[in-house]
Amino acid sequence: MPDNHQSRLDFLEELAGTLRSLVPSGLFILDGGLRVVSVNREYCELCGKRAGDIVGREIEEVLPSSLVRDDGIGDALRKAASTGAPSFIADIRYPVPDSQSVRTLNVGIRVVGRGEQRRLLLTIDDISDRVEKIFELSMLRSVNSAIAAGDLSLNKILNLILACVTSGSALGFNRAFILFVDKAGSRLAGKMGVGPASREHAMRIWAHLAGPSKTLKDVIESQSENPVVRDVHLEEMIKAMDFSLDDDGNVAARAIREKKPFKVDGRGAAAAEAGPLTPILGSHEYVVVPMVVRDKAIGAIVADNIFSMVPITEEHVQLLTMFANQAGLALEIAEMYRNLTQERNKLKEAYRQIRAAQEKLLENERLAAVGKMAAYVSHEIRNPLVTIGGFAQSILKHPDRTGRTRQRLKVIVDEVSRLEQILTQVLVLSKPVKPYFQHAQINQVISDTCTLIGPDLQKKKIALEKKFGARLPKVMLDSKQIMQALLNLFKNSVHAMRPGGKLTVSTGRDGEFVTVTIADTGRGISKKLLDKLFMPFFTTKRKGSGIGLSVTERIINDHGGRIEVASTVGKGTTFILYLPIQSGYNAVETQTGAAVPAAGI
Amino acid sequence: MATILVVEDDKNQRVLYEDELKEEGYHVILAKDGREAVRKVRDNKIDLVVLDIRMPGADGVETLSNIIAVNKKVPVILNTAYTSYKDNFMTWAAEKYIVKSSDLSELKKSIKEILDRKKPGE
Repeated sequence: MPDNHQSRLDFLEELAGTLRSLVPSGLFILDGGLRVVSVNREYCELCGKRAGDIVGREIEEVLPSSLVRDDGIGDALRKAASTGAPSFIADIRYPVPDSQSVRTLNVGIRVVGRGEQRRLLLTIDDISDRVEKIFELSMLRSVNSAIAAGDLSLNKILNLILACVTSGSALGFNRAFILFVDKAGSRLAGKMGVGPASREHAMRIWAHLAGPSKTLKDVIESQSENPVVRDVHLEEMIKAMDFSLDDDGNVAARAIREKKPFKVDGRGAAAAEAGPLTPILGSHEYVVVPMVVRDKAIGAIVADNIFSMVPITEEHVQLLTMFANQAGLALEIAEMYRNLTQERNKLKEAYRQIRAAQEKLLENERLAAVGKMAAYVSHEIRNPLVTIGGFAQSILKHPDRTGRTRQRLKVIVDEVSRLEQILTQVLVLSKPVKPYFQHAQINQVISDTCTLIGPDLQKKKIALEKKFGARLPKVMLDSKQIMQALLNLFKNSVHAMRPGGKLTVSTGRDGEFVTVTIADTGRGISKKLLDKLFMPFFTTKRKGSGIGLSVTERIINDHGGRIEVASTVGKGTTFILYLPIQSGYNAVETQTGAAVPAAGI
Repeated sequence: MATILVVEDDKNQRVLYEDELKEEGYHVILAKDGREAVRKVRDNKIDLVVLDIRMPGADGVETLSNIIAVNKKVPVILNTAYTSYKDNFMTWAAEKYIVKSSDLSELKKSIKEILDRKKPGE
């Protein structure tokens, strides 16, 4: 089967690769006295010696002394020679002499044969490339996971990127800088940089690196413990990096515009022609890599090896390019997140301003209501007072005129009760009394109210028709308040009608509400006035206070219900009250929480 | 005998003013709203008008200008529960602005002064 065949090929390929990777960089066969019996060709090529120069010599003379002594290979070999026990030393950090590169080695010792025939098999395996690959992967992964973890502070991500570019065995640049394209897309400016301030500082760092192998996690953690040295020199360099993107003589500008990496290499003309970066960095070999996100260069990473002078290879440039795009994505996401946060804050602020404006408006409304209230009180209280006081003085002047005195006293009594009514209404409006809810049959409450309005109806010869719905559920209500609300509506209707008019009161059910409909055959209310109908102190009546309907509305609202009104001029007006069947107790809560402008008076 | 028109929407106050002004020796005519007031100014020989300024439906200020349109010589005393109308320039057309009180002596005094002033000119 072709599939089988393919998987077999894949397997063989993989096996071959594994075998190749197992072939060590150095392979020695030593005798019991630790003299080299044989050495592989690879090692000879690596150190540029002939096998004849190595065979027959003691291994301690052949290998670099630091490896034999400091890293314990000598001890391990002697122990193996005497006891026959194999050993394995992993992750030896070996600084290559006269170079700044540090290699990672695995050393294995196996024993074959006994006594005089005893032979030791010494393998030295350079695993640096594998370590690098692992580091590379962990670098990309750490940037990705920073995004995934929602760890999106811009500075954190910048630090992470710089740590990746400068630390470890994968890229290991001496210095790195991040530059950003500005919002207008016309300039590229330095944002952050990292690197040793001097060669001495660099040496200290390398000495540290030559120690136990570090993972990226270690690097980042040690960096957050000891934040990057922000020396003045570095800061000045970052500040100096501010370039126009139109400048063709600047590799940084070109890297952004052409969205491809530039490597500046060599002294003299080549470096000088690269533009202003060369004098700022003070180095002749560096790389500029754009950070491209969704086909747009958002910035660049500039890196060099000014202290170690390690050449920047094509592989480094490629890896840095790949990494830069990953970094760009992380930065863009951080930026988007920041914008989102800003937008959210803007919205919050706008909302706060609207709230403030609304409160101001309510306050103004409240003040206007206070003004109206003052005018209302001034007029409505003063008028009865004038009448009462005027007649009282008149009685005082002529106490002997008993007939007129009786008549005047009646006026005084009437006016006092009018004053009391006004006060009651104002009180209800300004300081609402908490409803006292009880289960009640709405038809009964209406009947009681009709009895109260009876005399007014007779006086004006107005017919009353009751159309009560049958089997209505009981409603949670304050019957006294509802009577007051209904009475106000009835009085309005009676007032609006000529003698001979008809008042129709009907009840019914509409979903979760019990409805009360009051229809009159009065003169009707114009559209313009309908809007103002429930406004406190609004009246068209000669003797009206403008309080009745607003009190009615308040009471119905306190019961969790609502009022609707429809009117045709010349034909009549219909009010419909909706009272919730269920929410008597809820209504208590809405009532206490309700803020009606006039409530503050 | 001078004739005084009292324009007042409050029934009990109409009774009060009628009583009190009759006692002062004036002939008193009553009107309960602005329209009636204008008609009575037109149809009668009125020497002075006492006008309540706040009458829903027909504003007192409007009534004042209507009265003046019919008879620009008749003096008008604004007798009102409000003080705020003092700022309305139309009320400057009135001879006097009095804030209503149960003590009618200020009203009576003003009526007398205005009528006394008027006499020599007639």
